[in-house]
Amino acid sequence: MGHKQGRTLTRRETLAWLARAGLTLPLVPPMLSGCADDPGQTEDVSRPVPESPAGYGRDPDLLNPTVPWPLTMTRPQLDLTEKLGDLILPPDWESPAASEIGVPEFIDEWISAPYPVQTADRATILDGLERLADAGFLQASPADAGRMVDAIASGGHGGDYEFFKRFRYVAMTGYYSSDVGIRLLGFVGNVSLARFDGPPPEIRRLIGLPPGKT
Amino acid sequence: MGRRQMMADAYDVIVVGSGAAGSMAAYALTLRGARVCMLEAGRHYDPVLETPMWGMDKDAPLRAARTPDKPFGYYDATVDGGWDVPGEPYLSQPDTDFRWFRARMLGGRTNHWGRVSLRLADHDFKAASHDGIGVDWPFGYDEIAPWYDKTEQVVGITGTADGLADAPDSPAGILHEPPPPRAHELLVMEGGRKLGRPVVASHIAVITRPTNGRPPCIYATPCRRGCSIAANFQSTTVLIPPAIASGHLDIVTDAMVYEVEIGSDGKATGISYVDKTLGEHRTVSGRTIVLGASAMESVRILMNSKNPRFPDGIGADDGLLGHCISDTIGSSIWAQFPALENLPPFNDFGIWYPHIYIPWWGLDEQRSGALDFARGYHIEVSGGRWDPGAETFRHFDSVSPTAWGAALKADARRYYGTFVRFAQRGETIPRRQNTVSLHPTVTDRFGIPAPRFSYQWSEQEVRQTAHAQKSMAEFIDAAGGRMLDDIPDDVRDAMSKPGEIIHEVGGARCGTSRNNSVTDPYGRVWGVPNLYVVDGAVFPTNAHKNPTLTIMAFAWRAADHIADRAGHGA
Repeated sequence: MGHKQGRTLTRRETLAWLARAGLTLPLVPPMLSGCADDPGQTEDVSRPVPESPAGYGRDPDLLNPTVPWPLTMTRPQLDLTEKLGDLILPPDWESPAASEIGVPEFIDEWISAPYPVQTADRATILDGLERLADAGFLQASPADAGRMVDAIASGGHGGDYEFFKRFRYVAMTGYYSSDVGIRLLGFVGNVSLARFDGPPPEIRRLIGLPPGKT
Repeated sequence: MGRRQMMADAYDVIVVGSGAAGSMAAYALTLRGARVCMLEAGRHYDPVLETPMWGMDKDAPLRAARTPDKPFGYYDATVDGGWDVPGEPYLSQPDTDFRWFRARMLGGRTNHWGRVSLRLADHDFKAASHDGIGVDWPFGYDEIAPWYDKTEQVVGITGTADGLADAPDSPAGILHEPPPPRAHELLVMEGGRKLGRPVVASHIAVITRPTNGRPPCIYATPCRRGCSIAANFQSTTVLIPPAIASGHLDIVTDAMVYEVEIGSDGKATGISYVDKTLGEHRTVSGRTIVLGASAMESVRILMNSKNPRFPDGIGADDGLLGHCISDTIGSSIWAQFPALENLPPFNDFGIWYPHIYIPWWGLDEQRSGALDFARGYHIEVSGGRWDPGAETFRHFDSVSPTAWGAALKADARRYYGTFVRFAQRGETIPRRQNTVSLHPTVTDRFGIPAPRFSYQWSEQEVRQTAHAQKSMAEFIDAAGGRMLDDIPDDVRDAMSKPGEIIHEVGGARCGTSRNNSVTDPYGRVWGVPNLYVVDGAVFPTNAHKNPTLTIMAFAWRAADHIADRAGHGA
């Protein structure tokens, strides 16, 4: 994918997504536009009510959650997401790669969502993916691809740290909120108990406190 | 809900609102035999059927991340609410930015609230007498203490008697046994010992022993979703069911109230509202009217109740209506605790809310003039090993900025559950120039004039926040943590926006005479003997103790005043 060609494609996709989501330009959501904080205002400033026609709304079914907005990543974008995601969260002896537990699909869900944080992440992540593609990331050997990840993680590669940071955050959220992630992190709460005793003696010892009551 | 009034001319009391204030008033009045009609702007809501007790973040859109549609995450109980409600705009005057959180549902914000329940102390009711700023409440602690007792017994609140100067103890036998501190809370308590400052059990509206047919907490599922077994306090599980069971309560939901009707004799005769399901205007009559619609909404209704007797709105005669509104001031610092790294799995869930808090310790210093700000604050501490979701790695970049691959997976495990937030919750000074008024032209989708806010922090709040930021940094250091946020050069950058802490009160403050207040000490609007305001609007001050408990105690006391005057049974 050539640089110019890719950029044009991304914009077209964005516009198509905006149309599907029922949004109108400008792309910057009203809450982030900053006008309400402008000290030079001399008129009343209406607190804007962000419309969310393609979101789940203010009263979604909490017992049967669904994602109502369409996923928007193209096949090449998903391929890039899968390769980068599996380098950032690779398989090991005790756990699978990110792509084996639906992380690319979750990143697609995230960047396709019609909310301010996700809309900003969409621009950051799709632009970053596009630059990786332009640099030959998909065709790169594992070692070369790793060097490219090192470059963006260290703030190199055209100042892509923001892309690395946001991609990593979304990937980690998808990975660790899964059953695999819950096991890896060691979350064992949220089970019905007759009583709660606080941390066991072993934990008290490990955090440097004497055993027994507080 | 469709419970239409069956005795439209026969209600003793019309109650507007079904949250902390309205539900407590309806509960107390119906149990004394009054026939009550309660109006709620939002839809019917049943926590038993609707609470996603065991829903996992992995099954929710965006792994339950916070969005404008659900500002506290997908599973939060709030229905049709948030800081921006579609079709219900509000405005800010130049140079101000006030945030108004609403929940349009039966039970209002009691379904999702923070459940911190601290009594105001006698000096909180008499703050002006101590430091000369603002006004006192028209009564002291001893006057309202019996209603604090009754409210705590019905609500069910954890805590201990700590003998603190700033926080009154409850009588023995009322509070529920608090859960033991979590790992990070033990470290904070150690820090407090080193600093010589108190760290005590928080007072949280969650029950840990069976109460009035409600089972105790099962130490699982996030309380902010609501609780289908009623182990935490929501008006929809604790106050409304017994009021319905009394046979004396009718509830009308989807009823957007806009006006108090006044008769030729100057007394209130009823309430007008928009039936949202039919789009029709309706009026319901009652002998006594009680506004518990939430502080800003009740003030808005009073202002919009224009008639020949009150051309500028009911209660506006003396120019105080809509003035002296206030929100709690908040600021926070995130910290990371190396002692908590790489711990083996253990259950850290507890009652979901913080088990401890740092009460205000500076009362004596303040009295002696050693501090450059007038009122106190407390610090809420939250952290722990929670179910992984969109919040889990929010602060991860601060401690692991560049890791990927195997190193990232090691860091994820190492830092999980090591992040702790320290949050100031401070008293603010109600100022006359901080106001809510009606916009002259903008209306909501029902045609009701939109509120317009004007609110700025004063130097009092700025100086208190500077002190709080420094104190939180000291606590973090003493407890063995490292700060992830620097204290900003201009402490204003750390301060919450007015309304963001969702403790907005005032606008129709109570007092000793119509010269200094909008209502009498029972919330009765001066000049209208059968119209009461019983929510946060009546607060003359906004102590740092979270307001809901005091709202409920005040509402119950007002309800007893109404019932006493009407000759209803005890």
